[in-house]
Amino acid sequence: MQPEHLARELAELHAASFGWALACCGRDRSAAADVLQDAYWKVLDGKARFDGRAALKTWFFSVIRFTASERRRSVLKWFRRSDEPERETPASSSGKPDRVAERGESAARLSRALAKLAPRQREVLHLVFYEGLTVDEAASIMAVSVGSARQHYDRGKTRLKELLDEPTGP
Amino acid sequence: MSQPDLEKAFAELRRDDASKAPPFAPMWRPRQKRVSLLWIAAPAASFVAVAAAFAIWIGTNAARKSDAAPPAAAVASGPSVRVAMEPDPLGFLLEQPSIASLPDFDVDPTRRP
Repeated sequence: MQPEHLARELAELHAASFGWALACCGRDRSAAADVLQDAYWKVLDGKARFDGRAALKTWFFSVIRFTASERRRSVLKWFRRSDEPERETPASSSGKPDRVAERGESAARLSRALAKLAPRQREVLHLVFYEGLTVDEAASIMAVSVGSARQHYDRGKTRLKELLDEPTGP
Repeated sequence: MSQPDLEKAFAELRRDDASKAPPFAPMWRPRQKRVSLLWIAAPAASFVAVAAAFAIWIGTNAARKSDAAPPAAAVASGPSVRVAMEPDPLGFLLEQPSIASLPDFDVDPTRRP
């Protein structure tokens, strides 16, 4: 694939890539941005090459996931950060304040619930519900068997529903 | 929470994340090459080491010279003593020959008187 074409495809995939990086980093926004930057650098440096065997999205999501796990391994404090609640960036939201607040509340609640899930469960749920992929495709990105991915999916979905049905505090 | 509600919540989360995603263009740039500190530190350290070695060499050389130098009086009397004790091997070249030492050219030394 030509570099310009690859850049165009990745630009279209950018928002989804950031969402996936968030899922891989326990919803930590700054960590996700760093991981995504590292993943882009891997592509630009030629350390990660797209050979066309899988879909571009599957390949790049694997790069992001691998980069996130590398980062977790190298810096232990990232494990602690993954349990922290999501940090908001004030200048990044758009739209009418009321709608944004309403929408943001629902999204923040889901985000908090996702952050409490085990990493594999969070990843498979993200790939299926957020990205609209099948469990088989999610298993390919997560580098696990389909059976294992399905198990993570079922357990994760049950746990997520429990977390979302819990009454919220004052 | 039902499945449609879950899907709806995920869709909202996706929209929310997309609105907060950092822009693509600044991220899609080659990383700047960082100059390693070693490239700066190594030449500086070697320069300091060479300068220190040179200073030490100068110092020891000066100290050795001052230790080995004889007293001023001995230096002054040295050459004259040597001249008196050792005859100059080429001194004869400077000697003026006297008349008496010249051969008599009127006498043929091969003939008998």
